[in-house]
Amino acid sequence: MKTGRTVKLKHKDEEIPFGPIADPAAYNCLMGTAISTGTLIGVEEYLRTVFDGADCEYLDGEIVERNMGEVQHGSIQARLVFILMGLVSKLGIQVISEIRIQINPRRYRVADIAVWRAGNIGDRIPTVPPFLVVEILSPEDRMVRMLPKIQEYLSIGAEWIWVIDPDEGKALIYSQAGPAGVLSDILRTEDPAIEIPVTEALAPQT
Amino acid sequence: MGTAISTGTLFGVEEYLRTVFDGADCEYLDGEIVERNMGELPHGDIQAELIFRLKQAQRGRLRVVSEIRIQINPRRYRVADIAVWRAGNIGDRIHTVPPFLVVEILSPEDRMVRMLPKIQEYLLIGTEWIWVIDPDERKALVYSQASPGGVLSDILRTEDPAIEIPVTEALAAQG
Repeated sequence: MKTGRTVKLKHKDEEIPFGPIADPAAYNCLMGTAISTGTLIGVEEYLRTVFDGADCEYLDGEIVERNMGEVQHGSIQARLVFILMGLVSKLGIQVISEIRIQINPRRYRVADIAVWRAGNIGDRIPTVPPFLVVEILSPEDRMVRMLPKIQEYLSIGAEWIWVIDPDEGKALIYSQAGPAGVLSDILRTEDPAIEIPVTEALAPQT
Repeated sequence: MGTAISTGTLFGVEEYLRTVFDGADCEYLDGEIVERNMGELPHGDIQAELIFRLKQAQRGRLRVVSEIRIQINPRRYRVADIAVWRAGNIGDRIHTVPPFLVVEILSPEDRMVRMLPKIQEYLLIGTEWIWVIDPDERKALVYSQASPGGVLSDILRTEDPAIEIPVTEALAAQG
């Protein structure tokens, strides 16, 4: 079996007492596996919490770890952010990485990258569904975990979702018109139109 | 593992259909021989358990076949871990009727970007139900013509005939 890992945490406002969930063991996560911590965590607590390392998701009361930041994942994420940032003024978009996306009041996902059309999208947590969500797969990512995440993004109105597999050099493109996903060599959206060959997103940084 | 072997000489489809591979059967994708994941123990256990339960559930009414080549088009053949047809004539060496149900059991090496097109091809030829089982996560994705995007589920199910097997039961053999 997979081994557990303790997620260290600190509050955004240090003066807020940890209260009943002060025990860091309450935040034990397996790689992407929710542990029944006994003490479930309130959503307000989650929203106040800054996790050590990669941000965690909050799924109906449970803190769920995402995959660890590895070099390959991080480089591709950085490269795609760079490419998308280059389109900001031309396309009128805003690009945010590692952003919490509210699915419902008890459920928050964390996207590797999310893109919105220019405009007010809310304050701490976006209140407007993203135009585009990008997820970069790690070898540990399981289809049975990723698919519900994609379906939840679609359910809140995300228009495009790119799921990139760096090892395979391929991507799956999901959209409201193609919610079952399409295998593709090109990362694309419409309105505004974006087209980035997967190979370009995967090219080593120079 | 799941990687296309560049054989230098691309295989003709007739050659593929005549070939018995050493070990797990290979797929044939537009001229290329593509290896599937190797038979590992949990994979094999679950496959055996499911074959037993499927045969038991619908004795005589279903034809359950394991490791079977499924023709997507004349240049494309997939290999299903298990495929199930309603009883009747399904063709001779290679079936000519789409399966009622296809079961794929995931290995840790299986990649979503490879599995999804396979599922979509099964749906395209008219397969009614597809179960994609993840033994590590103890969950399954159930695809059907009505839900081509897949649904996360704890129960392996079909309709007409109705089959319901809890994922935990299918995994019972691996403890």
